Amino acid sequence: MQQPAQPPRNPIARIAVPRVARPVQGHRAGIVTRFLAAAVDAAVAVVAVALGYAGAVAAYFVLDPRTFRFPEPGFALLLIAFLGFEACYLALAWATTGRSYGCRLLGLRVVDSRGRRLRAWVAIVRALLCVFFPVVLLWVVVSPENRSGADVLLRSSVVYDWASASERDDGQAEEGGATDDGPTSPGG
Amino acid sequence: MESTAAHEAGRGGPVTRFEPLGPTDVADLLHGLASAGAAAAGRAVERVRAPALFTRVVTGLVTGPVSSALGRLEDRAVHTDWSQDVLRSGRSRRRDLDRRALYLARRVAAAVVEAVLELVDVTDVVIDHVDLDAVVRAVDLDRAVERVDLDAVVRRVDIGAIVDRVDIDAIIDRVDVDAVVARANLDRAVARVDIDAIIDRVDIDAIIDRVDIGAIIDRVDVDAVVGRADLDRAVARVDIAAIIDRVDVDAVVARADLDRAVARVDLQRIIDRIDVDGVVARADLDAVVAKLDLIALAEYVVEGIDLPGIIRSSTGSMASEGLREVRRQGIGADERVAHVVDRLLHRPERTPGSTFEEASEGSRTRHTNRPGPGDPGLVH
Repeated sequence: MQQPAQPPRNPIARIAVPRVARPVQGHRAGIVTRFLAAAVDAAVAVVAVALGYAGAVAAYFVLDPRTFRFPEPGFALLLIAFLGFEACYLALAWATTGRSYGCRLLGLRVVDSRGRRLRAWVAIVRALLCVFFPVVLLWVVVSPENRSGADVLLRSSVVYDWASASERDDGQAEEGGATDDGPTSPGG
Repeated sequence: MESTAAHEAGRGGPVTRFEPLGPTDVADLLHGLASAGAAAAGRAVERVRAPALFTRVVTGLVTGPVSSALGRLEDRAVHTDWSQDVLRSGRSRRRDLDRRALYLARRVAAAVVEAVLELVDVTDVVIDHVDLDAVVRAVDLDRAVERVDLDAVVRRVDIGAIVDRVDIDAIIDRVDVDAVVARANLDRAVARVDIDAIIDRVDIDAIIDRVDIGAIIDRVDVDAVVGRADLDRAVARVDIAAIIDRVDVDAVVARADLDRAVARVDLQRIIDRIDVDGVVARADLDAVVAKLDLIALAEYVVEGIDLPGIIRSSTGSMASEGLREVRRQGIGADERVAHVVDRLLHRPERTPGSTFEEASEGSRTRHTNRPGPGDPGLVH
C-alpha cells in the first residue's frame, strides 16, 4: 500500500482535544486567556522570589545562626528580583517549549509568524517587553488579529494549543523550520 | 393570216392565202370600217349639215342594210387587199383607242376611287363584307414566309432602339405572373430540361469568384435559419457511427489542449452529481481490504497520531476536567470581549487567524459553527 509521504500534522489535537475546542486550535488567543496566563506566570514569579527569599534566609541562618535575623531586602530589590526572574523564566520557556506554566495551564503556546518555536533572541526581547512594559498586552483588546504590542513588533503569536506533546512537537518544529517555509504545526 | 400557198393553189400563180379571221380580227375590221365611216360621215356632215330629223331617218333606214352589208363585207374583206388595209387601219385605230381608253380610265379611276374612299370607310367595308378567314386560308403563308429574307429584315431592325423604347417595368407590372405560372405545365417543362447539360455549361468557378460570400453571410440571419431548421430531424438522419468511424480520434486528441479543456470543467459540479453511496455500495470492499497490508497501515497510523502523546494528554494532570473547563471559559471570555470591543468600534467581527495548518478549516468552522451564548461549549 502506498502511504502518504508525511503523517498528518497535529493528530493529537484532533484526537485528544475536546470536540468543541478543536475549531479554535491554532487561533490567536484573546485578552482574557492571555491575562490569566500572565497572572499565573506572575504568581509563579512571586512564588519563585519567595522561595529565593526563603533560601537566602536559610543560607544566612546556616552561615551565622547567632547573629541571624531576617534580611530586609526592600521593595526595590524584591521587584528587581521579581522582574528579573520573570523575564528569564519567560524567555527560557518561550525559547524552549513555547509554553510558560501559565500558558500550559490555559492551553496556550507562543509561536513565531510561521507557527514555529521562537528564536532565542526573539524570546528574550519578547520577555523583556512583556515584563517591563506589560501594557503592550492590552493591544490585544483592540487588535483585529488578537495581537499584543510585542506580537506586532516581533511578529509572534499566542495561540490556543491544548495538546501537550511538547517534546515531539518541538522536534517536528525544528524539522519544519529547517525544511519547510510553509506554516507548520507547533502542536503536532 | 396571209398564205402564199393558198393563192398558188387557187389561181395558178403566187396567191396570198388568208387564214380565217378570229374575233379580234373581226373587231379590228369593224373598228377600221367604223373609223373610215366616221371619217367619211364627219366630212359629209361638215359639208351637208342636214337636219337632225333627217339624220335620224337616214340612220334608221341605213342601219339595217349596212349591218347586213357589213356581214357580207366580212367574207369579202378577208379575201381582198383592201380589206387588209382596212384591217390594219382598224387595228391601229384600236390600239390608239386602247391607249387613250387606258389613259382615260386611269385618270377617271383615280378620281373615282378618291371620291369613293372619301365617302366609304373601307376598313368597315372590309371587316363587314370580307371573309378574312377565307382570305387567310387562301393565302399560302408558308410560301410567303419562304420568300421573306428574314436575315435582311433582322439586320435592318435596330434592336437597341426598340429595347430602349420599351417600358419593361410597365410590361412586367401588367403581367399576371401568378396566372402565367398557374397555366404553365412546369412539370413537363422541367422534364424537358437537360439539367446535366446546363450544369456542364455553367462555370461554377467563375460564379463563385464573383460571389461576395462575406456580404451574403452578413445578410443571413443565422439565428432565424437555425430557429427554422428542424435540427432533431436532421440529426436523426445523420449516421453518427459512420462519422465516428471516419474520425481519427488520435489525431484529434493530439491536437487538443486537454489542460485548458480540463481547466474549464467544473469538477465540483460533476462530483456533486456522482452518487458516491451508490458507487461504494457496488464496490467489493472485502476484496479491497484483502489487498491491504493492514499491519503496515496500523503501524503507520500509530506513528502518525503519536499514540503515547495522546495517552499522556488524556491521562495527565493537564487534561483534567477542571483544567479543560477553565480553558473553555477562557476561550468563551475571549470571544465575548472581542465581540463587545468590535461592536464598540463599529467594525466587523475580528478574525484572529491561525498559524496551524489545519486552523484554516478551523477558522471557517468557527464562523459557521460558532457556539451561541447558550451553547455549553466554549462560551461557558
